[in-house]
Parts: sequence; C-alpha cells; structure tokens
Amino acid sequence: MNKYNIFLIVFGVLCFNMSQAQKNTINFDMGYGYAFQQNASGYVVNLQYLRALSGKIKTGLIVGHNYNEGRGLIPKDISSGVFPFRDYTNPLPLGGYNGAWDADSFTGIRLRSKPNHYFCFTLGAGVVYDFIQSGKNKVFIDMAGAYAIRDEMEIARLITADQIKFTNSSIFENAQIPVYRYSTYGDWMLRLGLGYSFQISKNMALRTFHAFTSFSGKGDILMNSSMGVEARF
Amino acid sequence: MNKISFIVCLLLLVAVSGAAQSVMEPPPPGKLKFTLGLGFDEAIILKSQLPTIGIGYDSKLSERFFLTFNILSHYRRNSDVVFDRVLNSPVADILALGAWGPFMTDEEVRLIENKGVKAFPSQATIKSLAIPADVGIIYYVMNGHRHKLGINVGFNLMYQNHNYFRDYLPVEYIQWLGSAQPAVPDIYLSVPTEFRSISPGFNARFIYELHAKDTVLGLRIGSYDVLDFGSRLFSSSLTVHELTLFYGLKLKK
Repeated sequence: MNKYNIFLIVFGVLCFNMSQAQKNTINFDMGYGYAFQQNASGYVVNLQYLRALSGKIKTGLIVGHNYNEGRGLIPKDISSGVFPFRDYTNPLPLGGYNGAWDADSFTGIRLRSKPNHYFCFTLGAGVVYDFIQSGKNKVFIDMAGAYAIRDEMEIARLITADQIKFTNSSIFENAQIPVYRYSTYGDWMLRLGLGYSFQISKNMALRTFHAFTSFSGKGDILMNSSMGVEARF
Repeated sequence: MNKISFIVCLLLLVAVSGAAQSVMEPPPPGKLKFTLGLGFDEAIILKSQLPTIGIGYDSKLSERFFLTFNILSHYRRNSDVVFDRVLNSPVADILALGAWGPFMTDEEVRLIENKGVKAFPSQATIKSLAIPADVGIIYYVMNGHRHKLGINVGFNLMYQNHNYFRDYLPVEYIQWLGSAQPAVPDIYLSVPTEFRSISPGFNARFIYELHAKDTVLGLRIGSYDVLDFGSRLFSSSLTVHELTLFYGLKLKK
C-alpha cells in the first residue's frame, strides 16, 4: 500500500462525512406576491425539503401558501356612484341591523375595500440546480411542479341600479351593486425561479428567491420575490 | 489479511472522524425551526385542514431557558348560515349564475341557469387569514439529553383578516324596464364585511422535543391571544390555537 494512500483515504472519509452531513436542505421563503391576471398583491410563504443528488442538483418536496388581494372591478374613483361597501365611512357591526347603529358600534374595527381574495395552497416537488458556486455565494435555478388547492372570492360583476333604497334609509341613485362569486378548486402549477444565497454559517445561508408561477386552471401567472433561510444538515 | 485490516481501518476512520467532528464542535447557540401544523379557531374548531406554515428561532439563554421567535401563516374558510337565508333573492340568483370553476360541468351551469339557486355559492363564503408572530421565553421543565418538555409564554402580535356575511341589508331594488311603473322587488344585498386588525396579546404553549445530534423533532400545542388585551383598545381579534410539528436545526458557528 502506497504511504500516500492513507492520506487519500482520510481525505475521502472526511469528504464522505461532510457530504452526508450536507445532503439535506430545508428552505423557508417569505415575501411579496403579485397575481397579474387578477391585479392582486399579497404574500407568499414556501417551505422546501431538498435532498442532494449531486454537488449541484437537489430535488425534493415543496409546500406553500400564496395569498393575494385586489380591488377587482371597483374603480379607483368611487365618488361617481354609490357602492354599498363597508369601509371606514360605512361600517357595519357584528350582528343584524337593529336601527341603532352609530360610530360607537364599530370600536376598533378597521375596514378596507379590497374585496377580492385569492388563496392557494401548493404541494409538490421541485428541482434546484446550483449553476454558479463561488465561495459563500451561490446562484441557483429552481423549477417546481405542484398541485394547487385554490380558494377564491371575487366580484363577478357590478350591477348598475338606477336607484337603491335602503330600508329605513335614504334612496341612492346610480348605485353599483357588487355580485360575488366563490370558487374552491384544484389545479396544477409550474414554477420557474432564480435565486441567490449567501452562506452565513457552517450549515445556514440567507437567500433571496424570485419566481414566476403559472397555473393550469385559468392560466394566470403569479410573480413572487421573497427572502428566506437555507439550512443544510 | 491486508484487505480485512484495510476495511477495518476504513470503518474506524469513518467512525472516528464523525465522532471527532461532533466533539470538536462547540455547543449550538440556538436552533432554527421549520413548522407545519394545524390551526384551530375559537372553541378549538378545526375550520381548515390546510396546514399552517411557519418558521421560528430559539436562542439559548441558559441550560433551561431559551428566547424564542415564531411566525405562522394560517388560512381557513367557512360557510355562513346567515348567507343561506338570502339565497332565494334575485341577487343570489345572479350570484349563482356567476359561480364557476374548473370542476363545474356545462350541465351544472345549465342547471343553475334554469333552476336558479344552487347551494354551491353559499359554501365557504367566510375567508379568514391570521398571521401571528410571537416572542417569548421557553422554560424546559424536563431537560434530558434526548427528551425535553417545555413551557413557552410570550407576547404576540397577530394580523387578522376576516370576510363575514354576518348580516344582510334588505333593499328595494327598483328596476325601470321600459314600462310606466317600475318593478320593485325586495332583495337582500349580500355585501361582505371585512375585519382587519393587528392585535396584541399573550400566547402560551407546551413543547415536546426529541433531540438528535444536530437536529430536533418537536411538537407544540398552544394558543395565540390566549390573553387578549388588544380587542377593546386596538382592534378586534379572534383566538387561534395551534397543533404544530416542527423540525429544528441546531446552528453551528
């Protein structure tokens, strides 16, 4: 046995141990999301478990939440018509109308008119390819496919009414009555993204991730930019 | 013989180098936790089977005390019995016509158009979102090498967003349809109310942890806003209970 072989063996064993220790990765990302078709913005949270296939390729599971809100069909200037929305100036309390509502009935309730809500829960698999690795810096491509459970609420249309008269109240003209629709369904999503991570300790890195996600159901596209942590073990 | 000794040496080296690695490393100063769990609403009602997703960090103060930070995303939906009462109104008809989705067949759409209201749109009209974030202290009552049992109390800020049909407005819907006299059906406007709030409160949890060399598997059960001192002063909020599984990673310098 060559005397240098023992050093090769020691080096190999150390590499083996290191590679075993760094084979698994968990990523957590949280950031901003924007749905183009719905013109709705919100947040995105993703959790990934990845297992290294080679030095540059990892694959694993993803799970995530996307939540967006938008104004939908409500015009920016709502002074032109009457919109029976409840906001700071037109709130309603819990419970039914009893003819005695006043400002004190709404203590602390904060309202805003962004009635369209889009939620999506994703569960799927993905592949990450580290195509640039330099010291503590790493740039990677992330591609994932997932089943998406989607829960949505949005204004389907605004009905224009010549007059609406609230019972025991005044008559409003040129009123716009929002009609809502609700959808809970599942479809598929495909996500393609680019990210950068910077190692801050032996088994942890900070990362930023930017991606576009396309959904099969309606073909809508979601953009997200997030920050997160990458933990290796 | 040489081959056997070579294999033995190799196995010893693997074991020794692994052990040396663990001995040489300083004790971890804290752990990063990735969480998946279930969120329960007030009265411990499970409204959503979709898991909560979150992250947390525990920083060591002493052998038994840790400082902890956590944040969680929790979304759920629910149906509202009040809304069912307006389903026979003209507006509800239109709303049913607007119902759609990839799983709806043409036959179902025609059924809705011909017969009016279907129960479909009355389901899941309440949308609720809660994002609690908390900071607090963990005290490990049982602090074994492998098993730990802790109590966590802390301060939480919770962003909540609820859409409710808690009532409806009776309206005379006057339609001028080209006739001399208007048609005046009584309808109900089903306008949702949005409650948005950021409420402060106290949270409490029980935590069980199973420790390995570099990792921790844990289960925690507890409540956000268990003592709510914000509803009257700041905003309206609802208590959120959690049952969460977490995987922690002991960080190395």
